[in-house]
Amino acid sequence: MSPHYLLFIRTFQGQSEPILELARKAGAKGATVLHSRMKAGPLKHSFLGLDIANEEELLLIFADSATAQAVCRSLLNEEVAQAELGSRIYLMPVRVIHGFADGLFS
Amino acid sequence: MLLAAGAHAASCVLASGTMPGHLLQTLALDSVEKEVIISFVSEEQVPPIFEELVKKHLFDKTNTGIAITLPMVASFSMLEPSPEKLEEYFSQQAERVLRGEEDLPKKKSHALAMLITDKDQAVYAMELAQAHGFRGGTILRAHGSAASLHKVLDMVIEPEKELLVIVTPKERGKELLELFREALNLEAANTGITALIDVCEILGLSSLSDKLEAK
Repeated sequence: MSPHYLLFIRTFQGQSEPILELARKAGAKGATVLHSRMKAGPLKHSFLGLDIANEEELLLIFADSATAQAVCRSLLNEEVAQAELGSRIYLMPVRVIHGFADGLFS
Repeated sequence: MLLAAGAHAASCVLASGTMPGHLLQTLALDSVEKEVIISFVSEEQVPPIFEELVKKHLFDKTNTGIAITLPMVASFSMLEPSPEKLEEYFSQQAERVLRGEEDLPKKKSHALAMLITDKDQAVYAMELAQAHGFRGGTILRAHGSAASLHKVLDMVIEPEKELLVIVTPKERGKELLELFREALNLEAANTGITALIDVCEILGLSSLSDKLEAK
């Protein structure tokens, strides 16, 4: 059985939808979005010595190896980079997974 | 602290959890607000961060918090994309699969069970897990975006979701996933996903395991 991954994508506030659109086209079945405060990172600002916490969105996508590769490929290009949709993709291996209705991952 | 230790970034997500205690549970006061901090660091940066958590935030005491590290096999910058790095990783990974090797860390004692499900189902799942002897659990608020979107008057309706995370001994991980699968009927479309990710390092559960070992 090919390995499965959790794709953890950090996106800037309000940019999760275009990223999801690209991910869906690449074969992702869906995603879960977490809203978070960015404590530090590429868009950290400060005002009068106070740090301003930007909001960001964390996308979680479970996928098999081929889909994970396709999703990453669709997100790692100059067009997406210039649009500043997100900052980084992290890959985590998953040991067991249940819950895809088509039975692919049961 | 994380940034001082060299972490690339840190994100803070609001969550809720439970405070153990029979009296609190009886009075329905066992629910507490929590914050989950997610950060991405290299393996070498973990020991000094854990030391600081023990010294400054007393993570070696019970009910102060839990810190875990999960295996990250690759990361790619979207601001400075390097497609070659991606192709290189997946070609090496394909070779590893052919050789029967795994990306997963070995000889680890705990795993992180994740359950993504509809709003209010996570509380039920957490209570179910606790009734079967699993401890703790944290619920993060989220929203879903399945491939088949619901549209009303040209507006996309995104369902509210919850992400339940429970740290469990590795040997009971599959049991917990089976419990979720049967209770929430996860075979049906758009009901939820449950997955198990190995934990590399853990801090905050030691006092309990020490007590059990002492007995």
